[in-house]
Amino acid sequence: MTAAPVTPALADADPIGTPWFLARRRFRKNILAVVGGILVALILLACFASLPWSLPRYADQQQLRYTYHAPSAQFPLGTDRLGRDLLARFLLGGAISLTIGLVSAAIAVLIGTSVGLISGYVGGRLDALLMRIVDVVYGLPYILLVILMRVALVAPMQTFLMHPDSSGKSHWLDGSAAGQWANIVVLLVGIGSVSWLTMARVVRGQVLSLRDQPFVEAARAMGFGNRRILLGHILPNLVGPILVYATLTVPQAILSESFLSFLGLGIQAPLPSWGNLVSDGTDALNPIMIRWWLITWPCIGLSVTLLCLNFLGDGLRDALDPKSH
Amino acid sequence: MTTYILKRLLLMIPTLLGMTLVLFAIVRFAPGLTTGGGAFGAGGEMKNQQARLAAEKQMKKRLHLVDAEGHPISLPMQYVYWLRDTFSGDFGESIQYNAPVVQLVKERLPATIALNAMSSIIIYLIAIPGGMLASVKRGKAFDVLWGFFTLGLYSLPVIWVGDMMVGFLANPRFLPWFPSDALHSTNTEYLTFFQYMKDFLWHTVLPVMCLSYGGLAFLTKLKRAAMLDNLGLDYVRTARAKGLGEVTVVTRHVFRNSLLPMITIFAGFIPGLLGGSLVIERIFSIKGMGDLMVTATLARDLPIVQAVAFVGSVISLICLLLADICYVLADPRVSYD
Repeated sequence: MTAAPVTPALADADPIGTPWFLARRRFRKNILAVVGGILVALILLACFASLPWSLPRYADQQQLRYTYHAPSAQFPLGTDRLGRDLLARFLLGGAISLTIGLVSAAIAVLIGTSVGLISGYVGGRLDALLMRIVDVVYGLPYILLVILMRVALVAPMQTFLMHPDSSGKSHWLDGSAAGQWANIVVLLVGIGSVSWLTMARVVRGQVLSLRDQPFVEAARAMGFGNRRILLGHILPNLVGPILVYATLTVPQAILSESFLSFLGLGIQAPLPSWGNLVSDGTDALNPIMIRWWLITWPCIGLSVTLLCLNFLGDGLRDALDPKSH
Repeated sequence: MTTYILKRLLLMIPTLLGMTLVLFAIVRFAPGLTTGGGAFGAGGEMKNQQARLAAEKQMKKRLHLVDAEGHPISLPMQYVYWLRDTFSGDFGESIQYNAPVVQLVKERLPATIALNAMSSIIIYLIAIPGGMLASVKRGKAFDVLWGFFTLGLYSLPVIWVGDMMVGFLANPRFLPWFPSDALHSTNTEYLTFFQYMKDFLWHTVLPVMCLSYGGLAFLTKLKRAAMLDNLGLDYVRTARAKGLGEVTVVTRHVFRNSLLPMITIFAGFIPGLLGGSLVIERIFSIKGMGDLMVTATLARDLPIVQAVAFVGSVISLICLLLADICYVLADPRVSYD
């Protein structure tokens, strides 16, 4: 908003300015994307700022006399089968789902960008090999792959986190905590390691077209090393596409987590996530008694977050992708 | 044409080997492979230590971890043996069901394939005209609203939509329009073919809707972008200049050329659908591959998990091949040799 180099009237007629300035302007015009971005920020803030309040009360808040209370002044979102306050579980579940989305997207960005950069810049056999690997993983149905990784990795990870000595006494975490952490870590690694493929392809394509540009040649002529050229000259030109795909990977990862938790293959009770809260809610839906509040809140949380993230990502793509206009 | 297909088939061999290597490696290092996971609980019929050891030994032989005399087999050879078994249709024995896995897969596969095939047809049937209209009316109300609508649908988690459908459209208390579970009624053997088909279609309405709505956004956007790319090209101007009506230009010339990315994406899009059917089969209690996979994972029935993942990968590869063939049919410029 500060000191725009051209007046608004001129700006429409004559687009002068840095690419970032133009992108910002295009983005701001996209009301849905801006609203999406603001809402995502608010949801993030609500879920994470309330952690000090929601985290301590996640496991030991069973009050059986409050079982299945509908939303009221005392429990704004109602209570569940064990009489736990759904507001706390909703917020904590949101924090967990969002963390999984953000961290696994970060893992995906890291792997995807590195593979794409190296593959595109080095070229030759290494490029062929890496792209074949991408093809292979692309062909495997990705949810099945995450489930397989879970089957193989959760138990060893749990043992690792417990760090038991020969007598079986654990040194780092006790059994159930190690189980939960192992679950989360494997979920993060699993989702992250299957979501980097598109990113790698996009980055590789961009690097291929950038690598022969005069500015890269100039950098090489000045005697810069490959590392400096890649990180200092090529990478900054890729921030746009990386940002776009990162934003679009987050909702994908949140969705995967909710799928898996819904199926009982993700976050395990008593830890909540939006996915397994929906699963709890489904169990409470039956033809005799509709306890709508159990399923409604996590579903609204999930839908609104995904909607906003998708609109945000879409708006960023329209603003940053030079091909889209 | 035949040479082209043969060539594509040959090129698929390394990809298939890579996939099987990934599957083999992940499952081979999964704990509980030889002990049958947690399926034989400590208090079960395998309480007897000796019996358990014997079963484990048997299992090791079965999985080619050791040879007939009990000597360990090297890892690469284990992979070769596993490949031989898998490609000859021997996926091992299921621990839960106590039956050959291949038989279970055969029972479950048709339901999943039917659901996925119907959904992909429906997605294409809606996304292609939708994307075309959106591109022709670029920037107008229809374009904006259709984009908003499909992206909104894409953001609705299927675990919610599916539950709501079962809860409201298949519930005697609200609208008992559709059945809430399985893919056909219980006494189908007395039905004629047409009655059977009607019954089947009636059962598939809700699951197919659930499986389809999420894919619309992506394919519509793809079709729209491809249309827009083509609308700006010279041949369109030529077609207009020689006096063809706008409808003919769009439906005959631009339509066909903008179909190519839609064909390419088909292969990448089936694995996603297969993942979606995992959840949908659960919600609608359909006995398909997804349901088989989830129950097997929860029970740590590794042979089934591995077999389902293998079959899923093979299906993806077949779709890749199909996409290649369709591409050649749609674009005569692709050379056959």
